[in-house]
Amino acid sequence: MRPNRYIILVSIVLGIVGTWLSADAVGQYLNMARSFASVNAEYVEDSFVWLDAEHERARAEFTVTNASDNDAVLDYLGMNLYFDGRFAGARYVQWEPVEVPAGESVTVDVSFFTSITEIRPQGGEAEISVQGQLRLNFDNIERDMTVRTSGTIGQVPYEGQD
Amino acid sequence: MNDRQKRILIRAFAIGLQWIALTIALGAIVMRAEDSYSEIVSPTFGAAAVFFAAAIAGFLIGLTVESPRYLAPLVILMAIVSSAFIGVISYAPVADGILVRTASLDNWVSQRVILMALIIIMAMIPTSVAGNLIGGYLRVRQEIAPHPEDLEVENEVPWWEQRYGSGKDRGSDTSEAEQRTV
Repeated sequence: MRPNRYIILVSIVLGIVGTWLSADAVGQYLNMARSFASVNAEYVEDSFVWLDAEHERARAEFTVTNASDNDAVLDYLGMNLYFDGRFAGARYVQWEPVEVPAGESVTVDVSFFTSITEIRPQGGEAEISVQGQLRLNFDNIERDMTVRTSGTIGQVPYEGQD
Repeated sequence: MNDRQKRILIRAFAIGLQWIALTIALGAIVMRAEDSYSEIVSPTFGAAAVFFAAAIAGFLIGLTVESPRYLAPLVILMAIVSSAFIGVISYAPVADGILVRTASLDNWVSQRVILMALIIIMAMIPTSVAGNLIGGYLRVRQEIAPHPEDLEVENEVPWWEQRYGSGKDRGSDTSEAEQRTV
């Protein structure tokens, strides 16, 4: 028999559409994977300072780098403070979203509150470390991305207000 | 190469082209049916779309391929290859060096491929049979039945266009009837 040309034509059109859909799906997934792999958050060296002598409040800076091809918005940043590995406090203030354009780095201020009053006096001598997570929302990608970050700050005594 | 060989070659090429096109189209639907990728790839269609697309693909390939002997392996092969498109999307970041290939990823992919292949085969079997039967009817109606050369007997009317009793057996049937009468 001779194959019906219209049936073959319909099949070829479906194949062309399918090729485009397949390539687009792989492209979207690769774009997401590359974007997620291109984000990093780091503590800025020597940026941690105590804001009072009682070691109740402190602030530090973190650099969020977006090396992907998509603009991103830092929707949320949660950060915990540890004295010698023990939980001492966290960032409790409501977070305002920050834009992180593609290929750029943004430095954000993070304020800490030492909520565990029992160990608050140890703030000047203890080994301070931080752990937290960032939630980023990329353009063209529906799924949010959560990045874990941690940093060892070391001993930081109160130096008084500038 | 004579005309008959050319026709066979063209027919095989057309069937091959259709098979590849339908397999890619079905594979694309399979890629976008995965719930795991619904937040990564848009638009996504769901498993029902795979079933529906497989039914259409089975019907179209059934319309073209005349012989069930060739249709059956083509359908099974289409189901396996198109369901393997899950592997294409899942391993793309691995091939790109972004993600690491793990045993759990391999297990997940193989499990999904088997599941999708079964769904596709279930949808394709009835529609490819229906396509094959309707295709035969269309082939006769559209006078695109086998060329006389393909039948190896020139100018002979194909058996499905002959009336019962009009062939060579007519004489023997009659004599048998007469014998019974006697």
